[in-house]
Amino acid sequence: MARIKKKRLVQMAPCFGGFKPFGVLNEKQGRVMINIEEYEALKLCDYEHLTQSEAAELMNISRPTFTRIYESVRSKIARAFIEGLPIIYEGGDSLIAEWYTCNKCEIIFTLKNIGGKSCPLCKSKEITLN
Amino acid sequence: MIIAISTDKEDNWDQPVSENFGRSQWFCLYNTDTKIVRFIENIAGSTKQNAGIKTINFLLELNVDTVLSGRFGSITTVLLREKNIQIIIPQRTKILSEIINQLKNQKL
Repeated sequence: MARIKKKRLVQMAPCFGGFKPFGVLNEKQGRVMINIEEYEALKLCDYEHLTQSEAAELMNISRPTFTRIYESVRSKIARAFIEGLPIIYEGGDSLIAEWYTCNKCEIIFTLKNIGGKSCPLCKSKEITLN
Repeated sequence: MIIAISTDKEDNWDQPVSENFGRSQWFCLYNTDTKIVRFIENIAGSTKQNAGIKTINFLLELNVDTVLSGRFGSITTVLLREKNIQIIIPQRTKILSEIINQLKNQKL
């Protein structure tokens, strides 16, 4: 039996669906799919300027695995840029950290270990996970 | 309970919440028990490295329970979760006075 893949920990999923090239006359077939853990790898390395080992630790995976994910996202982005393909964030084998959204004031927040499940600003109980 | 809100300027109620947590210049501290609001300069904000971690340590000394900012880094988020500090990310359009008023009006 194949070994079960370890879930990659992602702090926060992207808040939009992807990118589209402009100035493309005949929309080409095909698109580039970037999964959530690849997005996180790129964010940690190139946006937050962490080292690969720091980033791997945050994602709860080994450094070689991190490097593989990172190289994959780099080549996917390059392909989308050169070939003018849209990028879509989708799928992946990841575990997204717990975040709650208040349905009334639309803020994003975490909950403390102790205490009730309510919005910290308006105290509304109508909150949704992730 | 003390809530720290990251801001760019001192004593300005119409400013939006700062987009950075670790590198914000000021923090607006609101104590929900005494209802006192005060501004405090973020002494860790101008450090070259690990501003987020240093800011958390600075806020822990002030007994902050909840932090509110536009964006948190990944290391900062993990550390705040470990220290059991609540993280709040508001909408971009919200200004400081709106948040303070919302906190003042809440029924405990």
